[in-house]
Amino acid sequence: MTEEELVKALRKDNAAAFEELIRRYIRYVSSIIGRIIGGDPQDCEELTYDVFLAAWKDRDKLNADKLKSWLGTVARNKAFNLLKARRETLPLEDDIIIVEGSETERLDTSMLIEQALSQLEPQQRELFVRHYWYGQTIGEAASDMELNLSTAKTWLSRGREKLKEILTKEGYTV
Amino acid sequence: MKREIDITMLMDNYTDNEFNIGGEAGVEAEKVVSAVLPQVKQRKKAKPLFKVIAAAAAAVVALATVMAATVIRGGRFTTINGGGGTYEFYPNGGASASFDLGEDVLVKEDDRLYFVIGDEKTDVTDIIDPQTPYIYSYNVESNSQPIHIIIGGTAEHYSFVHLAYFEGIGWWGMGKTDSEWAKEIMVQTDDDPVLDADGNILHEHGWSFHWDGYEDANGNGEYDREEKTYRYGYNNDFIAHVDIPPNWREVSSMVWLIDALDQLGLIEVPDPNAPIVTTAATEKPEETESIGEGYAQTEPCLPEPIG
Repeated sequence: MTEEELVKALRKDNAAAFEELIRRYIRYVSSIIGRIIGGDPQDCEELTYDVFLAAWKDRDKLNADKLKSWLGTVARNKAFNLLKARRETLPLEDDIIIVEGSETERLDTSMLIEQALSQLEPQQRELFVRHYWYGQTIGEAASDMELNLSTAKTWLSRGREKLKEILTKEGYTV
Repeated sequence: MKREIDITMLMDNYTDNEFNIGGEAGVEAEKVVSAVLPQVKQRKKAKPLFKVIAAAAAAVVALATVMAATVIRGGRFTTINGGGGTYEFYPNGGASASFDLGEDVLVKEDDRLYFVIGDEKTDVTDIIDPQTPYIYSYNVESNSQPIHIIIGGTAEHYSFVHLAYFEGIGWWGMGKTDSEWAKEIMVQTDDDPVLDADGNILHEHGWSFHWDGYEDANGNGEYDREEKTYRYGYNNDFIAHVDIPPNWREVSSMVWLIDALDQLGLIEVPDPNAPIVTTAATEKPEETESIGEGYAQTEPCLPEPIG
């Protein structure tokens, strides 16, 4: 069943299609959640249920082209929301940038990250996404990408520099 | 002016369409399928329920989802105030129904509440109270049962339900409730609930009221078998703790509605002074029933992704 057929069937309230959706993406969804919230299997299970229930609830809005990334985004957000609720954070590298300017309140951050990431080399972008989106530790990301730690840290730093460059161009002091 | 930008939060605006990095599955597929699938199937087989919504506008509400478009039989009726109901049955056994509330039947003038149908205008201000309903019943051609309009509450915080019989489905009520009552829910069961191994309710029989437009709250309760009590709530804020006779429980501030249903012979309200008796017929088995035929509660939704 193609993604398009799957989404079409979901919209027709097809339970078998929903089961297929779960089986197809359970690994992807639960690995994202597990990576972000750590090892509690029960929390991981519950959030995984929530992601698929959310997919069922929003089945009319699903886009076949972006099904996997939709699931990944929902999984990620639910996992981070849980961390926030627990007042926990991930050990992320220098994840705060301080900007200064008269219009900081109006700063539209929604386009910033797209701009910054589009200017990175693909591997650097991948590393940035692995660390700041998927919540992988820098060590895990480096290992998966077969980089040494020092290179990984340098590449992450470049991603942050890109963000700062764009902010500076927008008239902010970083 | 300084502002901190959290890169992780910045990434909330990003969707990964490029890398889709997976990993080791943290959860077994079978577990998710068996937990989630019954909730999906439940929607297709949902029994008729009361839906008393807090919204300001009348709405047509789908009663149950359907799988096939081919209708094998159906019906429709028009209510006295320009609303109506329709219902359809499908070859696979699914059904759907919808109920349109029609024109408002209650009008407030100078702190008085009037029930208005056509040229008929009845001052119900001193007739209704939180325990006492006003019931208006009328017959329609295409319905085997009369339709009832039930009003209760106060002139300031009034609520109403239009109650109609959908052939082959059962009684279905829809109305509007003032937020004064919106947080309370009535649950009546004919049988003891189906529980999972942890004592959480998976399946409720009978009537239930939706709370403030949210999903059916059945299943958020905890049933204590030894205490014969039922704690009912939403988002873990339990709002009631009641003693449960063998086949009935009630948690509601819409007493006027319960009274109306009792008057109409649609439910039986037990004598609150009667002793709670547990008989062999009502003893719960140690093992919980399979959830294959049961209904499971939909979990409250967590925040949606951004973008």
